[in-house]
Amino acid sequence: MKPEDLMHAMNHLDPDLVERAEQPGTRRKPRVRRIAVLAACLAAMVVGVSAGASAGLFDAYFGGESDQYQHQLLSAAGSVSSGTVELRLEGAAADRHTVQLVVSFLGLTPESKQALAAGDLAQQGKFDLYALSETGQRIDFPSTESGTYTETGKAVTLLADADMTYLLTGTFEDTGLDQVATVCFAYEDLVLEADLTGCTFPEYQLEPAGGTGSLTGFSASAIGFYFTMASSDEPAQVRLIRADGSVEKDTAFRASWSGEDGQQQTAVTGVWCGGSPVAMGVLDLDQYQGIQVNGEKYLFVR
Amino acid sequence: MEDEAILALYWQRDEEALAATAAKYGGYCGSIARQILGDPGDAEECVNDTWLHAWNAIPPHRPPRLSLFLGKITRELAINRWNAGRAQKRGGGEYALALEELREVVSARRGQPEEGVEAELLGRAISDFLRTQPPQAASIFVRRYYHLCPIRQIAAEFAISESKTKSILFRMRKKLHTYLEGEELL
Repeated sequence: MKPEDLMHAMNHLDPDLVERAEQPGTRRKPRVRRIAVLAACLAAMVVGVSAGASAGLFDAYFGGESDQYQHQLLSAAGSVSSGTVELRLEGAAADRHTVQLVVSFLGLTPESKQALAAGDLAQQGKFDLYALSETGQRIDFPSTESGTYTETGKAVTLLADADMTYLLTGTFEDTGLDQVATVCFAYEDLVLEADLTGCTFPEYQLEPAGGTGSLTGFSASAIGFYFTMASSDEPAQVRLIRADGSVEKDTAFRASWSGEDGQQQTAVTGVWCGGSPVAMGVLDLDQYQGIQVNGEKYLFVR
Repeated sequence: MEDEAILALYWQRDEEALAATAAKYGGYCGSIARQILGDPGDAEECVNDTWLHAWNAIPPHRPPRLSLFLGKITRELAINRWNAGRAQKRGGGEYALALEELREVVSARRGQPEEGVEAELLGRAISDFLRTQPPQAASIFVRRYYHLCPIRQIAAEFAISESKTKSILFRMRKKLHTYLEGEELL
């Protein structure tokens, strides 16, 4: 069969489907922004808590099948400003291991705009991503990552007025986020706080399909996956198993491995990707029955 | 003019039917043709051919939905024109891009001889597949591969990002491939 055959076949589609696609009423209305409770912690003047990003920007960072999970994605959660730089928390998603924040920087003076454009602030060591317990005690993430949003390999600032937008990821090897009340992002004297209460995806355990498997502590959520495996030089091949039992040929994800030299076990933490290596993927887990790792199948315990 | 009144003109063999059709659906059919052919001149010729085909088909045909009927004719004519190579010399429009995307769906298995599948049968199978998918994703798929709308336009229509549009289409193509394989149509 050739692609041209499919094109001709499309001419024999059910007319109801064609008509529905043409009706403006069936198209998605602009997303209603949900403003979650946000505690602003400032070392300098507050310009104001603003409504934040357009729906388009939010969608760019949460690719995949996220429609039914919108209530669990923190969006447009406020901003803080020093008068020279404004930080805007565009969105966040978390499960028990991982939190991902999307933060935009806006230079409020020509000098600060220039500074923001000059280079990757994360590489300059000017970022700090950490968490606070219910008692206000600082909890450091064992692993953090930051990246600018890229589309086709080119850094793209998705807000008309933002000078740069970063995707920040903090992960725990164990379910460290159970102890976390607030996640904080700090840049110079400014601190953005995100209250993730009610915005955390549940994780589901996975068990080997054949009764025995080489992985332990395997769990996954709509945004990521976690397991421990024998230390190996070979990267884990992770593929989603669809509801019908077939295995995806390729699954977009980012993973990191951690462990001490000489240890026999390695902890693997991964996040699904959506649309680009930097954009987050949010999956509808009902579409899948499990995950295959290095050829071994593991099924969700529901 | 209402579709019923336009159809009545066709049945009366009143050539005013063509003017009424062009007035009401010229933009719609022109848009479809331009998406495929890219060149306005080719698209205009295609649309004019559409009216002739409609005149020859009605009667005896009495399409329940005139817009879809005309759109299908335009689409088929434009695709045939594109395949004939005349349009390619002037630019292929969205059709070439969409064809490349659909190549993922129809990649042949090694060792399996390719057999022709009747277009109508395949169309019914695609319809069956689309009915099992979330309505928005199905509509986005139709807008892309039936209407040949650019990604940018689809994203604007559905108030989502281009990135998410591409992501939805990517997953739909993969799911369609799996579905057609399961139905032994690939």
